[in-house]
Amino acid sequence: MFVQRLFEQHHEELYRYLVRLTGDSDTAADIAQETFIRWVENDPREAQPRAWLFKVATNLARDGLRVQSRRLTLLEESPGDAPLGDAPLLPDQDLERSENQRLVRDALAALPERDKMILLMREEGFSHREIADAAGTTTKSVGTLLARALRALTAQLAPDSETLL
Amino acid sequence: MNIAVDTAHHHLDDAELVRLLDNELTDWEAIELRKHLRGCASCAGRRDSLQAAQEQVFTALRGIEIPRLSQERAARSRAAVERAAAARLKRRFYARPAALRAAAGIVLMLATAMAVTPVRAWIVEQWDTIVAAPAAELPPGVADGSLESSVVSFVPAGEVFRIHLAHPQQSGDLVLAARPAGRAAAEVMKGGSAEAFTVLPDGLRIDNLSGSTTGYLVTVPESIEFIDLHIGEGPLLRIPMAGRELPWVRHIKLGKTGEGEFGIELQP
Repeated sequence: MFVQRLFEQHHEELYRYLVRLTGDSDTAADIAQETFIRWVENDPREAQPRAWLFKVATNLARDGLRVQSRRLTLLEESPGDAPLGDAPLLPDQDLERSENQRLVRDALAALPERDKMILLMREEGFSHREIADAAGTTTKSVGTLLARALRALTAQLAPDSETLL
Repeated sequence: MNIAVDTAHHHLDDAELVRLLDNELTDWEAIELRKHLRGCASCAGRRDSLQAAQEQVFTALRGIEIPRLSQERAARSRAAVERAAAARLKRRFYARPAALRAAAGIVLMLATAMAVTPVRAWIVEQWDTIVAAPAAELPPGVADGSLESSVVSFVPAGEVFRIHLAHPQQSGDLVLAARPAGRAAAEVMKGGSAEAFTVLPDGLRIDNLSGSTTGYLVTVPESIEFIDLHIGEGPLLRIPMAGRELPWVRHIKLGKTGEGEFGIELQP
């Protein structure tokens, strides 16, 4: 069945994108599931199913499917939900890494929803045209919005850095 | 999209610089912009800053730990999607003209004929090649019920529910029942324990480790099209479920046949 193959190929990356977008793993899992169900129900016959999935998932997230009330709970994940990543770090390294991640998540959460979505889709390797299609804007605007998002995020991550725009 | 600016006299804007860095420009556009950058320290400096910002931000984003989706949650999502696909298939089937439905009915009758002994014997002979992958190759299943309780409850995937009795028994009972909900459940009726159950992605494996006369009650959702019963390396029974009216219960006696082989016997 095509949707099963689609699920195997794209569910993990879609979930990852949605965790970053919404800041909440439960919400991300719900939206990812709903996205694939929409695929089944709409049978879109898309030449670019990956772009379609991300677009629909983004719209679902933007529509506020439980996003607002459950934001930024990544640090409260249950111990059973082991994060993806390398071997455990030393306590100091772990602390530093946690602090860095908190900074990134806070900076990301402070971005406007559309800027955040555009930035994350770009990080997932989508072209400006695909991002524009998902965001409902023009390819030229994607460049402008990306630059704005980069500027804002960099300012929050390293306020004293000389690489600031 | 062409860039219609005179790059010799105007500074480049952020959108142009980002599109250049992301290789989103045509060759001609990229040449024009690079030509401008070679002669404009201000724009070149902004290009370098943007590039550094991209590297910093994308590195930071990739560093965000993503909580791994539990095996159970992933399986639930997969099952929900497959149920949606099955439901859609069913809706499309009933939306088709009567002639097509009649043809599908003939196919269903052929499937039912597989319950006939000679046909079943042929299936048993061909089991490994036509029906399913060996159990060892199946990914581990998950149950959301506690294995310490006497009942295991779970959501099966697909339209075929496979029960694999991994260890032949001297005797025992297997009672199958359909239920209106979307969940399946397995229960030890007497002797043994629920630890004998392993939930597979497409059904249930039963290991009779502690007794030879254990009985089991297995309930499946009404949406299941077939129950495939597989015993050790022995016989396969395919039970069609489509069109059954609830309540539906089937009693199967487990035990040795007259020839000393392990077998099953359907009760009326």
